[in-house]
Amino acid sequence: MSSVAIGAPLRAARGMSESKLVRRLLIGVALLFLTLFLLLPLVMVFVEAFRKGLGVYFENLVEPDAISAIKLTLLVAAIAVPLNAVIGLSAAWAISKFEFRGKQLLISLIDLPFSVSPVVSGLVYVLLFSAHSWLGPTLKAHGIEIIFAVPGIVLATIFVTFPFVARELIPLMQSQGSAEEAAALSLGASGWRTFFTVTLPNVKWALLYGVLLCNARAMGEFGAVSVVSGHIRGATNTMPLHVEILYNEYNFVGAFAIASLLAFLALVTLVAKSLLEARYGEELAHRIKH
Amino acid sequence: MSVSVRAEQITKSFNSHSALRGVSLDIAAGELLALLGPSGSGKTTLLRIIAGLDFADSGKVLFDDTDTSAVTIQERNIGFVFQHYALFRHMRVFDNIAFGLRARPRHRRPDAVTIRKTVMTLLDLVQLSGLENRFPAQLSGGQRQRVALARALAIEPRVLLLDEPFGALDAKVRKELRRWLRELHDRTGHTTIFVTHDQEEALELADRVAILNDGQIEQIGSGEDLHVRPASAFVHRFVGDSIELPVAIVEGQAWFEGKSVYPLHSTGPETSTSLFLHPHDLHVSDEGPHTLPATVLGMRRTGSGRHTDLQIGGSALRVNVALPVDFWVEEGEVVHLRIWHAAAFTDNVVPLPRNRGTSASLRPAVMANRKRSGA
Repeated sequence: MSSVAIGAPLRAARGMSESKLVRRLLIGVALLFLTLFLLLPLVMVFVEAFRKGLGVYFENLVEPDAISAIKLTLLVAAIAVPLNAVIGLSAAWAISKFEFRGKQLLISLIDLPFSVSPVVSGLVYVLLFSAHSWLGPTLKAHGIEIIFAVPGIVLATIFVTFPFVARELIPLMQSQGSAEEAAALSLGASGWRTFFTVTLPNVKWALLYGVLLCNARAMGEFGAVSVVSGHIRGATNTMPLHVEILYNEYNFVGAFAIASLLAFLALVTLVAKSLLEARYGEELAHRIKH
Repeated sequence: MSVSVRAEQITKSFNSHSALRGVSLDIAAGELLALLGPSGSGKTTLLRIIAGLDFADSGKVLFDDTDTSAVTIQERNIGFVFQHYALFRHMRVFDNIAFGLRARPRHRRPDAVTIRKTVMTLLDLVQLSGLENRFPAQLSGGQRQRVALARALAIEPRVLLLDEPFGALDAKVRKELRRWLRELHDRTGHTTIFVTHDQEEALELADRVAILNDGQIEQIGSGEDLHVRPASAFVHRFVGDSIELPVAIVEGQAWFEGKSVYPLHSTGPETSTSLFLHPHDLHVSDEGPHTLPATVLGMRRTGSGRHTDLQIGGSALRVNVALPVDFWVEEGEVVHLRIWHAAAFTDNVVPLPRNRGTSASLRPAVMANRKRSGA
């Protein structure tokens, strides 16, 4: 009896594990794939950027159009990310703590930017605000420029990066429920006090995580921004657009120099993200075990 | 400090489901009352309405004759202990307990020294001194429960409300905390209402128990009332072990298998109903006019007596009765039982089949309310 009882799980374990050869083959394929498609391009960016030496690399970075593109990218992120953090937090709060009509619709709407091609969302803004749109004449009369100007770029970026914060917060806040908020209210706390002393501290790491991803996307967004920007050098060019222009002009070192900054941003984001996951994994939504 | 609480004709529906159908309740200042009922009976909804976490569709909640309908939860000044405690997970025990004091408007907020003193006194009261720097995740279930209680008591509540206070604890801790909570109540004297589905807990802890069923109060009373004078078949079934003997009521007597087994002294049309009794209402006697024959199926000796499984008459009804230790019976033997105390309720009376004309309809008023006779 006992030999059967012990033997059975052993056999099962052996049956489920692959032979050494198959295991090595699978790991090898995975490593090869990662090297070819992820690591190699990243290395190539830096190799190309530094091909003509450090001096040329920095010359390309401090060139006026490049500086302008970097500034614009930072400005757009500085507006879009905080706005999306506040709006995303409000949306997540409303969805997870209250029952209301059209809640499901709101959840679907939040996901919309993920399912729509960025180019399409850019085009929508062109249709809404360009000179030939029905809003165009009114805007022109008031001297407001949206398309082919900074406001259009900000709008398109907000649209594309909206889901990051909300999607990170909704599952976490739903799993936390509203019992702590009810407790705070029963102890006499006002709604604002409850939000700032109970709700917000409970989601701070998840919020930071969402903001991090939102920022990476805001700085790297190409499609939607490309449609509304108009590619005016020194005025409406963001870093990703500037990379394209330089590349099309066969200025490979310049293109890769700017690209290396974006790649560096990606690396920083990745490290920060991993640190957050390692340290506060339990407080992040996608790690919650149901 | 403590106030009396009165609920008047509270109704509440969720979507199309009626959670409360006109519940009225009076709780004296300083009383400890249990809301007891099966899940879905509306007891938690009633507690949340009294707290101000939910609002009634109609009816009022009064604290000391003051209508609280327009008073927000923040202003009601109630201490609410949630089922899963709802401690603030990112705050230490100290900050959890101090939360209510710090949340007060500036002119009523005590200074830091007073807050510290109050929190330390409360920690001492709930026997958690020394744990003020722990986070909730570092506490056991029983400790969390006591932190939740201290946090609720910190605001000097007018009423203490507890939702299934011991539901998430294991049996041993539950018993200890129950006794401790009773002592605490006797010392602090807060008007306290707690929700439970555990009848033993309700009867052991509370001064009075309100039994809820399907959004209505079946009976409010002491444990004595509920056991000896149950108001309905539901209460009888819910409190203690209940035996239902199917009988026919003919000429004021309860008849079972062609034999009169219990006098009900009722004068009404002949009906078929159930006679409700507890196992301890059955006593072994000699065969006689008002006795039930029962076949012995098996026995187990316990400290207090001999638990005997009996099959009543020729029916499939089986009961477990504690017989005296000195009464020896064999398996398969027939004993005769006399019913010392039983009740019939109007809510499950059916006219006898021979009244064909009316057999489809229930006749609730057949026996005036409830008939019983002393042993």
